[in-house]
Order: sequence, then C-alpha cells, then structure tokens
Amino acid sequence: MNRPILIIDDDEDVREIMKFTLETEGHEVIAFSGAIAALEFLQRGEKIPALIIVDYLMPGMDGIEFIKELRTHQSWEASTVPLAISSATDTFEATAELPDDVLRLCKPMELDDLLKLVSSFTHRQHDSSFPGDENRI
Amino acid sequence: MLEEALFYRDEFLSIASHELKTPLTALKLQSQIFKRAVAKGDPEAYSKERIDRLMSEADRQVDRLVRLVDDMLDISRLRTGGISINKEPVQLHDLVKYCISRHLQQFYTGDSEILRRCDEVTISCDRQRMEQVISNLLNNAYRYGRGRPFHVEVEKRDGVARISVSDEGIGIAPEDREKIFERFKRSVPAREISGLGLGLYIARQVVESHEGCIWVESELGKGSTFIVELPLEGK
Repeated sequence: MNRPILIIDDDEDVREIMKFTLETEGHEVIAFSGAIAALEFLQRGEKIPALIIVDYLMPGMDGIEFIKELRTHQSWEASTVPLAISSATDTFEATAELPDDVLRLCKPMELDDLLKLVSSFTHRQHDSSFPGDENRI
Repeated sequence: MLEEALFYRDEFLSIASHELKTPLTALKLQSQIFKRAVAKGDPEAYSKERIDRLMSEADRQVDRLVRLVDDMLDISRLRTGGISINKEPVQLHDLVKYCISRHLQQFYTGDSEILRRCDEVTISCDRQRMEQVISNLLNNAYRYGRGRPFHVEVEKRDGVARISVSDEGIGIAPEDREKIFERFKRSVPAREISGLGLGLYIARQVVESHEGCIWVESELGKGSTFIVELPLEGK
C-alpha cells in the first residue's frame, strides 16, 4: 500500500503548490497548515506517511519543535517516519541541533530535488534502498 | 544601543530573506511544473484551465514580491531623506471604501459590515501613499485579528479626519505600543505573524508627512484600535 506524503507549511501558496506538484506525480499528499494539527493526525495513527516535510518557521509550533515532539513519542508508529525540514531562512544554523537523519530542504527548492527526495522515500517502501548520504538538498 | 540596532538589523535581514524566498518558492515550483509538463508533451499543460490557474497564482506571488520590495525601497528612501508626497484633494471615505473592496475577499470574516461609520470627508493627501497606510492597517487587523471581525470608521470630528481600524485580536502590550512604529520592530516574534515589520513604521512616516498623527489603543487579549488623524482639506 502506498503511503502518503505529509506536508506541514503555514504558507498556503507554498503548501498548495507542493501538494499539487506531488499529486501530479501520483503521490497521495496530506497537508497541514500547522504542526499541532499534524501531530494530532499522526497520533491517531490512521495513516502513516512515507515522508514528512515540515517547514522550519511556523507560528505556534515550529518545525524543530515538531520534530522533537514527534520523536519523543516512540510508541507512535509515525515517530520513525523519515523527516525533511524546509526553510526559507538564510541559514540552517538553528537546525544544527536536529538529528543527522533529518534532511534539509532549502527554499526555493528545485522541483527535481523535491521529486527526488520524495521518490527516494516512496521507493524505499518497496526496494528498501535509502537515499544518498548527503542530507542537505 | 549599537548592539541592539545591529540585532534588529540582522533579524530584519533574516526575516526579509524568509519573506522574499517564500513567494519565490511557490513561483519557482509553478514554473518548473509547467516546464516539466511541456517537456513531457502533456496536453493538459496547454489547457485553458491550467494556464489560467498558473498565471493567476504566478501573479499573486509577483504581487507579494512587489509589496515586499516596495516596503524595502521605502525604508531606504526614508533613511536617505524622506519620501515624496504629491498632495491632491481626496475623498477619504471613498478611498477607505476602495481599499476595503480591493481586499474584501481576503478580509472576509463572515461579517459583511467592515465599514461601521463613513462620514464624507475630504483631505489633501498623496492618494497612493494614503492608500498604502489604509491597506496596511487593514492588513494588520486581518493578520493579528485571530480571524475575528474587524471594523473601520471614517469620521469628521474636531476639525480633523479620523480613520480608526479596530480588531478583536491578540492586543498589544503597553511597552510595545510605541515600539511597533519603529523601524524593524514588532510586538510578536516573526514566526508568529509573517511580514517585514516595516508597515507601521512606513505608515507613521507617511501620516506625519501629512501633518497628521497615528497611534494605537489596545487591551491585551481583547484587541487593538489604530487611529489616524489628518487635517481636513484647506486646514
């Protein structure tokens, strides 16, 4: 069964275009405008995403707080889902404290990079290959 | 003092970078999706519906960028000697109505009566600059208003024209009520409410260059009212 891609971004335009892009490529996408609603969804465990792409700078709970919170709930199936943090800020300095396995996606991103990132994780479900050792896109 | 100024400047640069790159992200993905569809020979790419959608979304992102760049240019102009003001007689009530109608779809909060009072009043002002001030106040009321209705009043009283924009939003702490009119300052962290944090600074400069004044009355948790007073035409 194909797993959805979860997108969390407070900017409606960015969220919608990422959703449209990935849906056009045949992926199921679930999008949230805030991290708390996304956490509630993940806690319910109805659908476990193949990948979560979370924006760094968001009102309420930001991307870093979201990742830390998700990873603390080890009983949730979603706590081990691969994560990418996207950011339009100048540097990723603030994300240095995040685990190494969290990918960094710089905005504005290349379409190819976004598709490559997503397909590497969606293929991973089938062939268990893992994306390259470079963790910054 | 210098350290504080440098802190705010650096924070502004970081916010500006974020604010500029966000519409660029949408714009870039839109154009690349189209390019990809064309390269794949997808006939859908040329459909009227698809092109209409692409163009209107691209237009929106360009508008966002233009507003950001305009604000940044204004800051530069203000620093190097002020902005030019070309006064003409303007029906303030009509201008306020125009600003509300321009953004009505965005502002719609379920309450159709944004304009609560609208006295007919003429002032002498730079129409474009005053439109910028009014739009800025409306935008702030919408963004800081927690999705609750906000209201506008245009009054002619005590020899002045007064515009007040009231929201039922988060309110502003007493210590922040002057700070928000300063360059690069804001009352809430950038991550909470997007924007460059320049709007009210520019608004005050524009209003003062019309011999007017702007201030805020607020109660934390209950909302804020931004008030602009301007001399009537001929005064």
